[in-house]
Amino acid sequence: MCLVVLFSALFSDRRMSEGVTTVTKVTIAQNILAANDTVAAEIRDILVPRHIRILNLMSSPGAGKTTLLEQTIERLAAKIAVGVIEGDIETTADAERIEQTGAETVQINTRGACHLEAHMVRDALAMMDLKQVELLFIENVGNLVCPSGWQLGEDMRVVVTSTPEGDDKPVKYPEMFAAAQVLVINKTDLLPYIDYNVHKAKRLALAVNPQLKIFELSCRTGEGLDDWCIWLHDYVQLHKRGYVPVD
Amino acid sequence: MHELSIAQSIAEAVDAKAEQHHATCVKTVHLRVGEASGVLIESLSFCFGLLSDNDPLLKHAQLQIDVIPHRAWCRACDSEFVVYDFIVQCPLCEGWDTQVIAGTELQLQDIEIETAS
Repeated sequence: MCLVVLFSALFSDRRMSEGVTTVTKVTIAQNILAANDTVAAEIRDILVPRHIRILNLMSSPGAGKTTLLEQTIERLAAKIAVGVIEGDIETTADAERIEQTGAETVQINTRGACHLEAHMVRDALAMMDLKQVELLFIENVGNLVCPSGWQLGEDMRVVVTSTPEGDDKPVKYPEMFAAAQVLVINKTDLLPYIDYNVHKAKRLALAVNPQLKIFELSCRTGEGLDDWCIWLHDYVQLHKRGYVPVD
Repeated sequence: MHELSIAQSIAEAVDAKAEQHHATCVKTVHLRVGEASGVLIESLSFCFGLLSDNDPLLKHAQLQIDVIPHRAWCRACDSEFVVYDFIVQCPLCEGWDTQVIAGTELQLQDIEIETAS
């Protein structure tokens, strides 16, 4: 591998004359989505010096991302200033809900795009008052496939799955679960009424991502929300003190 | 997914580099695409073909795609293995202390261009 790279670097302007034209190999060696990655880095340049932690929240439509945010902000508001960028194809419905919590909120409407891209988030940040924000959630468009392909400058990716979706989602949509750091299993209050094996769901999730941190909760009953909020609180506070949480 | 917009990103990056080097045409576009990148090679090739047909610099460009296998490394026994179906258990020691090391790439590696001498 090293030999091939060295060869390429030395001979990146290799020329072979063919009559009146010359054929040249030009090394590029960049990500195809480099334009998006560049903007994602700009986002980090805005948020990291302000000590703002950024979480990219992803899930199928209806898994409970917005409700989870409402419940989280309600519990954390006294201790941590939360900001939210809402991503939806259409409507401001979710931003209106989050605004009721008092959190700094901006809505992105993609008008057809099935995922958020970094340039959309950068434009949304320009509309936010970041002075009061310590923890920024980006609620991505409901979609268990496409969002995982686009970096938004996040520190962590949180995937939310809900019990009615079925316990096999981690292996049916592995890229999403493999690319996340945290998994929230929501709607545990429905377990008595549906065929959902929590152990199987966790086993499959850990099979594609052994380092996943998993929370089980119900936004309806509040079960499990304290553990989630305590973890979030510690995550923000430890970062501010310069620690990188191992857990 | 999104092979058309990915093909567009490739075409734009190649056009920019080719123009920078005063190319008269692009002969080859060399990509490295991981098995686990979520990109369908056939769709990508098709979409690139559609775009390049209408681009004077690209209309003769051949896509050369290296498909990179999905591989992981086991910290416990220091072995590498092929990943099937995204399951990252080490086949040697059956441990889970593993890390994906290849297969998620989506890279424009190099191009071959013609220039007037």
